[in-house]
Amino acid sequence: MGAALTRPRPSLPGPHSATSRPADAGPTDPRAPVPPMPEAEFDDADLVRATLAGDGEAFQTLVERHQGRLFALAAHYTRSRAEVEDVVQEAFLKAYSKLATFQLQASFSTWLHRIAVNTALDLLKRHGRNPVTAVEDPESAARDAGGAVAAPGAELEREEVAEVTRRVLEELPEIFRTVLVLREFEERSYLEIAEILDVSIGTVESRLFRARARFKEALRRLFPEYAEPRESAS
Amino acid sequence: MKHEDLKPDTGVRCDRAREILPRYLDGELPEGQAAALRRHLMACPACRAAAAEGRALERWFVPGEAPRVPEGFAARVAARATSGVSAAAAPERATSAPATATPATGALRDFVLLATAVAAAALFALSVWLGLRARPSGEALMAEPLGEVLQELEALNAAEAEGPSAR
Repeated sequence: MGAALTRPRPSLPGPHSATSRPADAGPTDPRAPVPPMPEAEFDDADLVRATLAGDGEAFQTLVERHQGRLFALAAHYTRSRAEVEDVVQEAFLKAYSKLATFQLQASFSTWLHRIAVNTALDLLKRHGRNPVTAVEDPESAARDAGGAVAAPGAELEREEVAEVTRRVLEELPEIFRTVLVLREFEERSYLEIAEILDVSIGTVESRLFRARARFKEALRRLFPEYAEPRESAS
Repeated sequence: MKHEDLKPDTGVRCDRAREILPRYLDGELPEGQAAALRRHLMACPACRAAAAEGRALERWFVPGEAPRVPEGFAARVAARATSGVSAAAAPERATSAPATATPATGALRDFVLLATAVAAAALFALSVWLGLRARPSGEALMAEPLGEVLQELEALNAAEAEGPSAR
């Protein structure tokens, strides 16, 4: 939290707003001190308004608030720490440049995740990774390859489970990986996923169904020891 | 038990239960439908097994160690965004606002405006001078026609003075 946040926000555009002073200027009137306000009192929309008015520290607060989740999200697309950092940084810079287009009544987090997902997918394309979607229509993928998977056994450490899952996810086309990441790790609602991916809720539901089937299939193939072959319950 | 079996005690068929089960497990099912599905699951071992399988799959999705955010990352990103290092990384409103103008750029702008005004004035004066220099004066413009008229008039007078025989 920077010193600028010790004064009321947002600094709305006006005759004495930041449009008439350098963006990194400090408090405008030290003769009229304002009691410090807790950061929590500023929601994302307040910080967006302040950023648009030229308050650089407001944008830094936005970055601090969302950087953890974006690093976790980007880490699902690459194992390289440098690339994760590049993706997150690029996502924030894109968000900054497009900030004026953000609808203040919308969720900044959802909007930011949409940018971050697209940035991560751009990275995959640039590196020519995971070209499965080019040769297979994911929507027509098998609904379920049959069979079941067991829950991870108690003998597996948490990090081992995470590594198995990570390897399975890397096998999936990005269209399935993304929807699973948003649902299972980001715990986004169907509506939020629909907004992030710019698709309908019905498409989210359908894509999740197929993604889970593909995940089970890949898990059984890569780690047959976790397969739980049995007759279908139906 | 078949999926098509109707569960008279719950009002939910197995095929319908399987259809809405993912939404139920994701917490996306409206409470009215969720309550009916719960009653169905209580009565139907096959669908209950399907639900258990869905929950087993969910247990694979445990987050790994959270990636560490480099120290000072937010400050660096914010500084890069607001410093305009990248032309594309400036908010549309901020780029159009004069807040980014510095005293140095303001002085340069004033100098350019003054020099442009002086040059324009000098050019105007030069063009006026050149125009006046090349253009004949008012007297010059009127002298030749008047002389010709007078000569013609003198000739006519002389002719009349010589008498009608001269015609």
